[in-house]
Amino acid sequence: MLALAWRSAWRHRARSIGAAFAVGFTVWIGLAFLGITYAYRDGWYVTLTDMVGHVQIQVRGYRDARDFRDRVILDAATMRRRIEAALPGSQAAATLEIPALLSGEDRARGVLLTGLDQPGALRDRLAAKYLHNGQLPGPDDLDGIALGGALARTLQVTLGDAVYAYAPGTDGTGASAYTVVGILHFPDPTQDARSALLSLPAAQDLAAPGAVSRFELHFPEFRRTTDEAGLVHLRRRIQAALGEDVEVETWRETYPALSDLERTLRPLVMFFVGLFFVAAGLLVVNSIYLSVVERTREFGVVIALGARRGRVMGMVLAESLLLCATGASVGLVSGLATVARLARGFSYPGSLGDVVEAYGVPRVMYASVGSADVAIIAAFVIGIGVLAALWPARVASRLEPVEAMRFVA
Amino acid sequence: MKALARLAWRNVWRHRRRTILLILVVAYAAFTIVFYWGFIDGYAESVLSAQARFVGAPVLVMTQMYRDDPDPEHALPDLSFVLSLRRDGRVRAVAPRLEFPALIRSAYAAESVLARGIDPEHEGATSAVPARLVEGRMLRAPGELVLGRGLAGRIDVRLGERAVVDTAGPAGPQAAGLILVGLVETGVPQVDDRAALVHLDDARRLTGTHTATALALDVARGAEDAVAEALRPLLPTGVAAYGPTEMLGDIGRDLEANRISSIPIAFLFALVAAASVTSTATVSVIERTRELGMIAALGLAPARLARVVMLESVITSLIGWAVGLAAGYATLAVLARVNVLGAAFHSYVGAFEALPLTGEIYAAVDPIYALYASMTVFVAGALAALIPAQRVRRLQPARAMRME
Amino acid sequence: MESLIKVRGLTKIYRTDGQEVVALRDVDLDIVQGEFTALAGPSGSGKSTLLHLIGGLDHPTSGEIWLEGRRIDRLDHNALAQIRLHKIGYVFQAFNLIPVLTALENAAFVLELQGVPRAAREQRARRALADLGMTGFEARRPNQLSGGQQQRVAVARALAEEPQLILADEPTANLDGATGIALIDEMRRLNREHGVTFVVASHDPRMLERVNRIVRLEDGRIVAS
Repeated sequence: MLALAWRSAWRHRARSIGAAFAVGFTVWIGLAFLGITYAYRDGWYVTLTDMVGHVQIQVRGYRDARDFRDRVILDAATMRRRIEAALPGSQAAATLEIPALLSGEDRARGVLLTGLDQPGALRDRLAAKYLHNGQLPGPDDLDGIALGGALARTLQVTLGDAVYAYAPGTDGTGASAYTVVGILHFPDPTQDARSALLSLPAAQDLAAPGAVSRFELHFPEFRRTTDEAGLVHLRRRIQAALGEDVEVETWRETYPALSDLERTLRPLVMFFVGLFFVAAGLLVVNSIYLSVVERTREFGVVIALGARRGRVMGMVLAESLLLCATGASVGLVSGLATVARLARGFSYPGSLGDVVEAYGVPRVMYASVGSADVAIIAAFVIGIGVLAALWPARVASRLEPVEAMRFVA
Repeated sequence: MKALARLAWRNVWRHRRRTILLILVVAYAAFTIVFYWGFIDGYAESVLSAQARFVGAPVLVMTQMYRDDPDPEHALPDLSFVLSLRRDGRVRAVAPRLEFPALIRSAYAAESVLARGIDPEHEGATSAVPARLVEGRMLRAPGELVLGRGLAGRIDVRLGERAVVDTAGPAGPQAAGLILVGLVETGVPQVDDRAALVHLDDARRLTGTHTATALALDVARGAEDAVAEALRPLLPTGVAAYGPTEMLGDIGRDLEANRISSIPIAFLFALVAAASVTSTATVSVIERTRELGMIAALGLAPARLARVVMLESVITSLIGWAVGLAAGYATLAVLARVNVLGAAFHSYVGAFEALPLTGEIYAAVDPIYALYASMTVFVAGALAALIPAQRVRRLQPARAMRME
Repeated sequence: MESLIKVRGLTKIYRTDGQEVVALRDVDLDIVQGEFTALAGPSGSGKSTLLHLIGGLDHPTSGEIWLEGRRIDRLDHNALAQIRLHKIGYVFQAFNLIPVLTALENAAFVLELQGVPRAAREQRARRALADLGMTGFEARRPNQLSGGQQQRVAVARALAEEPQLILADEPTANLDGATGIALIDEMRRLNREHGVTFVVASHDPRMLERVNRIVRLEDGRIVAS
């Protein structure tokens, strides 16, 4: 029966190839589209998690706390020891964020002063990615500060100049002078205009001795959102180990808007791919329908010989599925080849690269697709194959054998 | 010809299933194209309108220096040209603004903001923010403060309480205690989490500036960028007018890039859709080869028969095209009024601080989409009419009648 | 002796565009096991209609049809399909092979519909083809066979399912003299050797000379039996 369906599907080669090509083309578009989207997403994910870590540890109730003091982990040293005990060898960055007014010679801007204590590798990555000029303040540097490029321009300061920070309502000295040692460049304009980096001790002196806003845990094994299967479990384990006075959250919980955005990517792409599949499916309908009409007499014979209606429908369905599957497998191979090519790294042409960089997408991206995506595309193909066969199959199965055998198209 | 048209028209309805299929295919192509562009443009327009109505203004007039380096230092040198702007027919309202970076703090916490000094009398005409008051009342006099609700929550200050605004400008470090009289909520995170509205007089005193950093103009919707462009020659040297696209900077370029990158996708779709239309029309002719052969055998010249067949495809495609456009524009009309897209894409709001979105995304409705859809349908229709007609012309009656 | 086929009061009326055409009126007929019967008559006499009704390809307007003592005229499509599949072999006028299948696959097609396993059905199809002198042509497609060879494959297909009854509708109409006679002789031989009952609708005189019973129809009525 399969042989019959296969040979029937190719009886009118040009037409069948046309329909199969449309299916294959759609599969190819779908895979390439997904591959590029995931390149986007994975690049963005690395940028994001390099910046904020995969898991954040913050003081309980930090979201609703108003007072600066209630929003920090007061005894950072003890907490760090507990983290190290719970997760030996883990990469934990400590961050203290202070809303402050930063002044140059005669300008002042509200900024987010960030005291950073990062593991060396991460710090090097940060420097490589964002450092435009000079250097990052050293781990124990109490004087150096690095500014976002836009901020430095606004404050009209450059390397070696002095800036003054004023952080009212905090527990430290509340005001201090620093020397600009580095100029950073963040692609996100908001971040570029608001970021100032200090060493953690310098930030603690200014606003909160011994305290941090949060610990950020980095897990190098999570390079993509698709690697994250174990993350929630890991978070629970850390929460259990650290007790109830801190909140352990994954980045998804800390940044729900970004997490939601990431989750809409696949459905959005699939929606567009679906539009293509419907159009390609209509071609398949035509091809199969015509093939049924032309073989009316043949179907008449088959029914006369005693094939049940379900059997006849099955024959048409098999033909449609084979047609779609053939096109799809060609599309799959070329689609995966395209993704594999793009997986070696690609960039957007011209200034488009600058534009996406503002959203945290790196210049060089690496495409990928998962087996789940291939499965969804395959489901689309099967769905189209079945839907396209429904009407022709009904036509074929309702043929009256006597009339059908007399039929000439 | 009249007889041919009648024959074509009757044939269209005799093969009802096939005709309906062709109508559906054409309608699907037209509908999808209209919907696609309405959606793509609607997203861009929603961003631009959030920028125009909530974040900036429909048109902003400022010095070029201020555009590059937004500091009160580069405020407008004088406001004498305001009168001529007010007299310009394209400008519906003018409101001076004095924006300055500040630290706003309560007894508990501080936040850095870009405070906006406004003229309470005129601001409402150029910005939708005052209309989104959710608590208290709008500013009336110096000494008062209106905040975004998110911002007020974060620094924990309530109506009637005092907050301190610190700034340092040409006048040196300055501070003022202001009473919170109202809260606004717009849905745009950039406004709700950052907006601090103070009286223009307070702003002038704090910054030592006597003019304004910008003039906000209200102009006709959709004409913002064009009016900004047109106003430029009328402004003093060093002063320029900016529409929302330009004020958005990178985001504006992203919207443009987004639209450009939508074109190849639309093109590919048009290709597949056109192939479907052509194939459907072709199939409806092949299916009737014998019947057409008979008509040819009766003595209808192949050219005239081809015209009948073509006419059938044209009639059917036109119906499908009309149905698709009607359905497409009807859908867009609904999506332009009811916030369905905003709900579907709620995650875009707030994901990127620089991206102004209110949580309301409405589809755009532009007659040009009909042209895009028509081009696709026309090309496909032409192929669909020509290929089968070609077949008919080559038809040999005797063979066609025997053919299976 | 119980009839293999019993037909009583069979009437078939076709309605097209409000016009009624009476194809059969009040036909009674009995055919016993092992007979080789020809339904004869000019075209439009109702012989094909009668054949189709006996074979369960169509429903009568009124009357009864019994096959092996079972009434089949009121059965639904699927039940009729089962009867056609298991009890009856068919040979049609022309175009009745599936063009994309080889001779062997065509001969085995009904067995495949019956669900006979591959090895068994190929063996039976081979034997049927051999029985009709078609050894060596198993791998050919229908368009590589002559008209007579195609009809032999069609008979082999009917024979392979080992039915009690083979119905043939103008099997020799498209064949030249010698080929037609050879096919008729083959069918007669199968009738004798295997005891298969044949009912053949034909107006071919070569056929009518070689059968043991002729049922003549005119205007939907049996005029001689």
